[in-house]
Amino acid sequence: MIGLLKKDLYVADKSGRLLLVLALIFSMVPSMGAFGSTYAMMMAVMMPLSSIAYDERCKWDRYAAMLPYRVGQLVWSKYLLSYLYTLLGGGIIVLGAFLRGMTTGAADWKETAEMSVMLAVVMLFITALGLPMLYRFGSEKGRLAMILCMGAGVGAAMGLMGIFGELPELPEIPMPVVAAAVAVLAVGLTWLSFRMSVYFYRKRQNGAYT
Amino acid sequence: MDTNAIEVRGLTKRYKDFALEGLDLALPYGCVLGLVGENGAGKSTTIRLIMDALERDGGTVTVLGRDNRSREFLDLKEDIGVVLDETFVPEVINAKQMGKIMAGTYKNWDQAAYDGWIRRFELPLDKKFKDYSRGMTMKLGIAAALSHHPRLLLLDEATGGLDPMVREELLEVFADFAAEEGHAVLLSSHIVSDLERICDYIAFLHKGRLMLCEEKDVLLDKYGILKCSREQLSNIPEEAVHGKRVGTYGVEALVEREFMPRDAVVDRANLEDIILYMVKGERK
Repeated sequence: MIGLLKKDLYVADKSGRLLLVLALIFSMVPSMGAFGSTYAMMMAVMMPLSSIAYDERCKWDRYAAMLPYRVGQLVWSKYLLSYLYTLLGGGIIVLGAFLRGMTTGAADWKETAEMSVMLAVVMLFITALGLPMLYRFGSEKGRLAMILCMGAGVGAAMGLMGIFGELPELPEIPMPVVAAAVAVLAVGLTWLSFRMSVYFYRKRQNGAYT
Repeated sequence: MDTNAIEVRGLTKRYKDFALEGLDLALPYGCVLGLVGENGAGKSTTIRLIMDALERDGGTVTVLGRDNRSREFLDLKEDIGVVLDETFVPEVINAKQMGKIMAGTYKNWDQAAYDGWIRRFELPLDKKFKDYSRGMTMKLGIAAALSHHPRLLLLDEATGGLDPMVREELLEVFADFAAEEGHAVLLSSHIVSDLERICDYIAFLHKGRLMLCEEKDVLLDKYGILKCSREQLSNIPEEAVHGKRVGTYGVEALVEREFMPRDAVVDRANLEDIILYMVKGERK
């Protein structure tokens, strides 16, 4: 597994470093608001996506099938890559806030923590939804399918808000319960997503989607 | 220890437009088996099926004494070095990084051995694959395949598209590897002269079917080229003629020596002759 991650990090090398530096710069600029965090999230989405595109271009999967890896390991390495970049993105948000605080004298740690948690949750869901699509449709069509799904989700949410005017008052739920519910949902969704990705990966390996 | 490094029985894989049907192969330890066939004959499919990289539709495959669908086969892959017809590694990677990737992949990766192969093949450490020639790419693939001390080498068109000097060098490496105790090599190629030089066994695939699989020396002894008139050929038993070319002045036929009359002049057939006659020679 280490070998697979190393390969993906070497592939991302220059573009990855550039994105990291840009995300850090955007996180440091006070007037940019949440843009830095959004950019860090975009970076975390982009890296596994471009890694799969690179694999497709050089037909890495054919070579990887000869190496002592299970299909599950080959697929899981992309999930890990996504989580790794999410961690990096979170680290950048925190570092940006720290540096911003040093220059302006006031770092909003509460907002930073909220941003980091939001990034982690959003990325968990994007990874869980996106990777099976990439394995099913390939990097080109899969990317489009991902964007369409995310657009449909946002559109549906906005539509519902339009219909109901505003969200009904929800009963006060303790934060630990919300956090536990989200965690269980994320784990369940990730497990389902992983099983689907493995299934699609095997089918693709056997020429089902060519 | 089993006598065969690879045993394939009735291996079948069907696609919409191609089928590999009922393949039987055996590669004994200490030997080089040449898998020859035209492009699209099923050589790469066979190698992928041997490595369980493709789901088969029928048959059995035993590699280094284990069923290739068994749980132990994953660990056994540590003992198998594979070189594909392309390297299939992202073009931005260089030889140094390749070594690190493989070190994170194989438990018995030997960095010193890898460095040794890189030096022997005179490969630049920091140059990216995209700037490599085909010869360099194949050498790097071979360096990676040999540096975890495999017992079995699977080489898919590893000498294709290379200049004679590089081919010579690589064939020497493969022959040396096979000469070590407990080792074996499966080499697929459509360069028949390469196979004739180093192989002990030859398997000939044509349109997904195994036309022959025999010891090379037996093959070369068994078949010969008979040059004669049409009338003379008509006196030869039908089962002895495996292909013929009819010209203005007579006929050239690939024949089995044992069926020939004592006075018949039968020239030596090389591997290329045997294969070409079998595929292109008009059947009697």
